[in-house]
Amino acid sequence: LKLDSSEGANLINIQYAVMFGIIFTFSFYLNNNQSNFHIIPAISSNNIWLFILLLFYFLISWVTSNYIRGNIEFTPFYIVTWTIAIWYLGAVVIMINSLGSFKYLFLSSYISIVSLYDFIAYGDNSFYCTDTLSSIIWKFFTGISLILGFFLLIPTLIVTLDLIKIVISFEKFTLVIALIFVFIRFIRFLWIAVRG
Amino acid sequence: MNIYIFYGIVLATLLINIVWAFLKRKGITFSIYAADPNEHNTMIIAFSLAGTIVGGGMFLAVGQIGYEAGTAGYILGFTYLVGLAIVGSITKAVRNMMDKGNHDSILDLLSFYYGNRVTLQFCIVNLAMYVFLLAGQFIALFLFAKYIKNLTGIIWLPWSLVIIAIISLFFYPVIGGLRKDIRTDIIQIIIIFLASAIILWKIIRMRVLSSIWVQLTPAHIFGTGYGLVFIIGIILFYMPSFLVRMDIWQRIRAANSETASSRGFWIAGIISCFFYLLFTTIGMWAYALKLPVGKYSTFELVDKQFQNPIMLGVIFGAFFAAVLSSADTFINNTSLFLTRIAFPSLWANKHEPTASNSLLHWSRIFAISFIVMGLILGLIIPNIIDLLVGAFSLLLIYIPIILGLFVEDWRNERAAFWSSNLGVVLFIILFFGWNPKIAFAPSVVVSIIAYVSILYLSKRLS
Repeated sequence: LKLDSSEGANLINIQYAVMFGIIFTFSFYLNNNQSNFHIIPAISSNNIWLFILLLFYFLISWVTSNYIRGNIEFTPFYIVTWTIAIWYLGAVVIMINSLGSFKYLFLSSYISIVSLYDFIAYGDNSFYCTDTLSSIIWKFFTGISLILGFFLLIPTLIVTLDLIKIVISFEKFTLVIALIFVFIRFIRFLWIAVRG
Repeated sequence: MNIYIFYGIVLATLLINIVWAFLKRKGITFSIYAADPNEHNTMIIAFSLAGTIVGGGMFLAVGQIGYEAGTAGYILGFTYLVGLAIVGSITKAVRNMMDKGNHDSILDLLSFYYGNRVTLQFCIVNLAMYVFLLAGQFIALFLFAKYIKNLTGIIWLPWSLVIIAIISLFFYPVIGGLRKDIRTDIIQIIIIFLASAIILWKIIRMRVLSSIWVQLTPAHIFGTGYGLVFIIGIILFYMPSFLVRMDIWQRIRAANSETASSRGFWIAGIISCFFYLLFTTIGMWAYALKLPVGKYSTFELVDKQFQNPIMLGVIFGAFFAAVLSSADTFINNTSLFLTRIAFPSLWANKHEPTASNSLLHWSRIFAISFIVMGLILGLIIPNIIDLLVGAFSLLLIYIPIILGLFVEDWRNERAAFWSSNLGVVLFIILFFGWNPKIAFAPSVVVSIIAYVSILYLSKRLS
């Protein structure tokens, strides 16, 4: 069973759109009383930059999916994998405003898995890595984000598993890692846009 | 602890290594000494690569990183895993290139695509760096001797072991070249695995992984003890460094098939990563136990936790195996670099019997000379050697040149020569006049920019 390119892309686009709507809904709340009506951002000031960054990444991911639609086969496996990735990413963005360290574990897992998939599946003989040089460069960049994913995964695992008793602030550390990750993904998007 | 049983076990591991090296004797040609092409299967390549990477520094420097900067050592392990996987993905292209021109080494490829002066320059810089790496292994042996001497009060005991290890280096890598180097890596990595299993068993039994974190600082847990710049630097400068190392390219050629080399690199990455994770954890464990000195943290911890002389003997035997597995590679490489520098015309005809014999003869003489030089350097300037070993990533000035091997448009002899010269000169100025620990970083960046600029200008002008 295979969908053609436009059907498959529509299916993916719908899911991105639904997820984007959910993210948007969770990003604000209404303060509605008899005298006035306010729409108030639901994201705390501590997390606002990380939220914006990940939202930007969500959009890059969406646009990228449309750039590569002509070069991929929409098999059931591919669609299921992509669906999980979209909903997982959406959950990561929504969870940014939650308390505790679980959201960081979620984010670091996402960075690690996505980078590992890119590193193994797309490095060789794909339509945007047609020669050895581009394969090396591709693997180098995905390798950086893979290592950073692991780098964030270690402390988040330690804290989430409750192995330490001290209070650790993750905000700045996570923001730096996420910034580098999104930058690399943006470069990836440009690469695909140029080659595709 | 019975010190003589300990001594006997370490001695036994050393003797196993020596006997293993000479168990199977075959005639050695220069081609076998330098490349041993198409000979070894996946696991042998994996063990050999891992053996080369796991040197004496694993027991000293990595433990120290764990002690001082916590999980930063884990990042080093992940970087090795990814770096070796990247090389593993290009082995097919490398082997095709070598097969096409009947080339045996990276030096032949450089000579063919870039000419003699770039190859000569590559050899000189690599020779200098590999001599320092070799001296670094001897320093690790000397540190072991000092530590055991202070512990037991007996001078002859550690020094006799060190002398036996050094004497063995005068024989098997000199006589057997790369073939013996790879062959001994198998037994060496098995000994290291055995010691690691003993340590790992202790870590699991004492539930170290669930208990040490309480004792560590946030900087240890985040791995930012040396700062985030250190982490980024490791990733950026270590990951591509495998692409420019001759010892790594030798293993690509030594594999008996494309699959063997590709899988061998993946497995070596996993093995190396495991060792980095283990020894970093040992360093953190030492910190959690409040052991005093970071440099000796692995030795101290092993000494405190293992009172059984047999287990302690196996662990220190593994230390010797680690040192030998790296040192023999560096001896082989340094001798080849100088042979190529001194006899370029003989090298060009290396497949002819007369030239092969002559090159083999001189390579062996040079190998002996570099062992002596490494020993002298390690004894008289250990601190400077430490700094220079840290600057190993200077070899990244050759990364555009190596990438040019794969793509014709990217290849330019003039850019290769002048950019790498600029990188070296800048490194020397910055090493002595600025910060010796990070002097390599701007040198590499400037060199790469220079390469791209000269390449662009050359294309415009032509």
